[in-house]
Amino acid sequence: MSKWHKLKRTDLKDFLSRLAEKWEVWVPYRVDGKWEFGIYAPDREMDFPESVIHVSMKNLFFPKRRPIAKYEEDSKWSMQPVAADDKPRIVMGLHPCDVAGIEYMDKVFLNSEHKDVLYESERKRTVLVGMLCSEMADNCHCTDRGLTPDSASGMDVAFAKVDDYYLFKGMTDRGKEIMQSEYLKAVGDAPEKRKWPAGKYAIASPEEFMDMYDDKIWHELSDICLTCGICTYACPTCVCFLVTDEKFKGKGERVTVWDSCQLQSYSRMAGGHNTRKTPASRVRNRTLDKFAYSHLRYGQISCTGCGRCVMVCPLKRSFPQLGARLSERIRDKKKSKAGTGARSKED
Amino acid sequence: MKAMRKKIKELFANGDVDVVLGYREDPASGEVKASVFKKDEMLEDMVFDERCVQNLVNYLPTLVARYSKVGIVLKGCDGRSLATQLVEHRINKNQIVALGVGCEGVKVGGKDADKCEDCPTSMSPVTDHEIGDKKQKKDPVFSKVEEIEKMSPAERWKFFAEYFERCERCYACRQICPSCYCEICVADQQEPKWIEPSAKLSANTMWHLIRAYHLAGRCADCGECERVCPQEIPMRLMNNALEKAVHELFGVRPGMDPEELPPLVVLSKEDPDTIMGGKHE
Amino acid sequence: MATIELVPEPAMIKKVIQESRDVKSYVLKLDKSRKIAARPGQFVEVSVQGFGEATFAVTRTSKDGSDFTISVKRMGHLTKMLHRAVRGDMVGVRGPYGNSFPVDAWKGKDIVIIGGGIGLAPLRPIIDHILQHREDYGKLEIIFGARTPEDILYKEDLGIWENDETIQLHTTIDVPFEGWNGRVGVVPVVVKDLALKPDSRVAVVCGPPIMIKFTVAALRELKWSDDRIYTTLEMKMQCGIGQCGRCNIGEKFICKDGPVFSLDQIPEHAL
Repeated sequence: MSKWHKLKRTDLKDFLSRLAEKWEVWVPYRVDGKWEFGIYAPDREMDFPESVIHVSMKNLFFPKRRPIAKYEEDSKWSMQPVAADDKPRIVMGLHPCDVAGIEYMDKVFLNSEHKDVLYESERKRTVLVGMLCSEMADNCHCTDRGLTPDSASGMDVAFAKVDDYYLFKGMTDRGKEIMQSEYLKAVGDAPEKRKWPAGKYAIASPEEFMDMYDDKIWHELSDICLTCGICTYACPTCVCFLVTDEKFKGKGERVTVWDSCQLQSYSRMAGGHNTRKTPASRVRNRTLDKFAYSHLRYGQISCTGCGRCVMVCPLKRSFPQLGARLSERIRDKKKSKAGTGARSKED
Repeated sequence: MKAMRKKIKELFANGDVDVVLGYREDPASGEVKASVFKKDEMLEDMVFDERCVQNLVNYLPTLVARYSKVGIVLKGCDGRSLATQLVEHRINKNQIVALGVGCEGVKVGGKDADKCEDCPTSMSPVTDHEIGDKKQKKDPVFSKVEEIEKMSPAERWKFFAEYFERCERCYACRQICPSCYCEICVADQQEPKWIEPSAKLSANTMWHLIRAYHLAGRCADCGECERVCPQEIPMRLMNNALEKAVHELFGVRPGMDPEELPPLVVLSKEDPDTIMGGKHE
Repeated sequence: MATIELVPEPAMIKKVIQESRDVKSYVLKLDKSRKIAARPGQFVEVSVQGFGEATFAVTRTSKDGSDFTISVKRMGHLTKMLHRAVRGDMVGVRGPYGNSFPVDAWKGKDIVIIGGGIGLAPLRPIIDHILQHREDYGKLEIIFGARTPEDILYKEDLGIWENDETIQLHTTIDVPFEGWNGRVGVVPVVVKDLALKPDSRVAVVCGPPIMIKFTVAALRELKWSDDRIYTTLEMKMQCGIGQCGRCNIGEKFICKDGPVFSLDQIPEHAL
């Protein structure tokens, strides 16, 4: 395998500027106190945050509003598909949980006979330069979702922040192309591996969650939830969307727009019938989707433990805590086998 | 606090309530959150202080569907909110036990909440039990609205457009608002599609304007829409601009009188408009 | 360039049939002369440009696959726009999508088709298939319920089925109606009255949710086992290809794993 390479922090700008000659380079920027990705500009102050970046990879690969076709409004039918973007791109500074989010999106959009070619072209044009975490932030719980904060799995290039330099390592052929840089010097030492805490938000198995469908706890769990859509927008794996036509000055676009199972309109049919009318039914759908349905469909639970849902919740409700509490109830139920024996605490 | 807990214990003991909506301090995190208290359950964690910002009225419709008697802890502003719901017949008062608590003002992010500036009453206008002092206050000044009114239309548009641009259309503002309860929200209507679902300036502007106008004369200024907005859009400012207009035209502050219909649903010859042949010159 | 699955291809309306007061059928032909080979039970996504798209069961495919038919009940904004469309208009089509009724596995069996209102639309291709392969199947019994005589669909077909000696057809309306001399009573009651025996039969039920629920209850009362009762579920669908998320029942997507299920494949709350 290839070696770890050292990049002096003082060389970072030159390194990135050189990459930007060939690639569209995306790096983290802080905007109004929140981290998001933007196209690299040498005169704009950037950094690689240790902990989770507020805006998830979903925004870069499957944006909130995505045109899929264009049409002329005054015609009966003139819909033409949009062209996919194929400019080579580097996304630098994403974390292992972001990689897990991308892997989940791949399963939704690529592993079927009807793959999403626009998503596919975003994936194909992008080289993932991932940063190994050096700490777990307040809401981070990826270790309870089967991930490791300093795992390079799924990255094209992995890097770590060490003192006043970075350590880079090419993981794939695409990644090695980026490693061909005069600013990178091969070194012997790898970044130190850490032992990470786990267990605070441990969850039950997907099969056990499936048994909770008819449990009365959903009412309690959803008592205080507003069922707004913000957690689903922030979530790296909540990729539900709607398809709609939008017109402006005679020009029309057919677009996909993120939708949210937490909103009443999501499951309401023409004619008014709604299969998920109550907040409890909507909270149940999202929770079971994260911990069970996703696994049964794709073999991967759709919670990466990134904690973004907690960060954005207007009421500071903790979804990881909800998962843990449900799991506790599953254990209690198993113990008592009475089915309704356990009394649960309010969130 | 002791008096409140004692009262609630009493209500539970007498079977006057099945559950009580109140505020709970999470012993682990120290955060104060809305909570549904059941008999003999965690009452020791119940709090009432300047951290109890959330208006709990919006939870009532779901709870009265599940329980026959629901108690609720109310600040002055929350009580006004409840009054607007009662007068619109959204909730049946017979199912509610209103616990008014004298409010000394609340804090958001360590600072006095903006909404407290123009607060007309420390005590809920609707109560079954009152704990603490009742202080009535002066007429509103709407200082922030006046600042906006001094701007030119172009400046004002620039000011608001910057915020509207950021809206994510998560609808947290709608979801927490007691007065936003349409069976099918205008934002979700398909026929006609008044508002496009994607988050962009034109559609977002439509959403925010329609939302504010639908609340004119009904909004009791609990300020929750603004507080829960993840993009910090100044929604109270829009609500207040309409509240100010309603106050100037009709002399009404929504929610102060649980018997009074919202001024915009009443047709009266006394209305300050020529449409009813009224006194407007 | 690879085609974007979510972008429809154009199709022309070849014929419009007024089926009942609020249902019209459209015979569609794809512009690029691609043939549509919809198996019984499959559906398509049909778009009106500028107004989005909606899901419709393919209710008939021409023998050579050059055109196909959908039936549209006026419900929401898109169906209203479709109802304004006339012969020669263009719409967009994606599909066909979804699984289908296991008509091959049903060979040799007696088939009972139970449709309520527009719910007959996705079932008509089964009847067509059986009539085209008549010797492969046993008895065919059709129960069709409409709210009033004015809501009866596919009158031409009903006439043909009525006169076909190999078919037993029961048409019923929900409540008495002036001038109607036929059977009166909701579908579940008719099912009970006929005392349908499971024997070697398969029943296929489709209609409004309440009709499905009570018809299933009636069949179960008559000792039908769940693996013999099939239905095609309707739910809000959008993408048709298992990606947009909203049509799930548990981990299953109706658009991808369905819409056809036997009752033993779905949880009770799905009905």
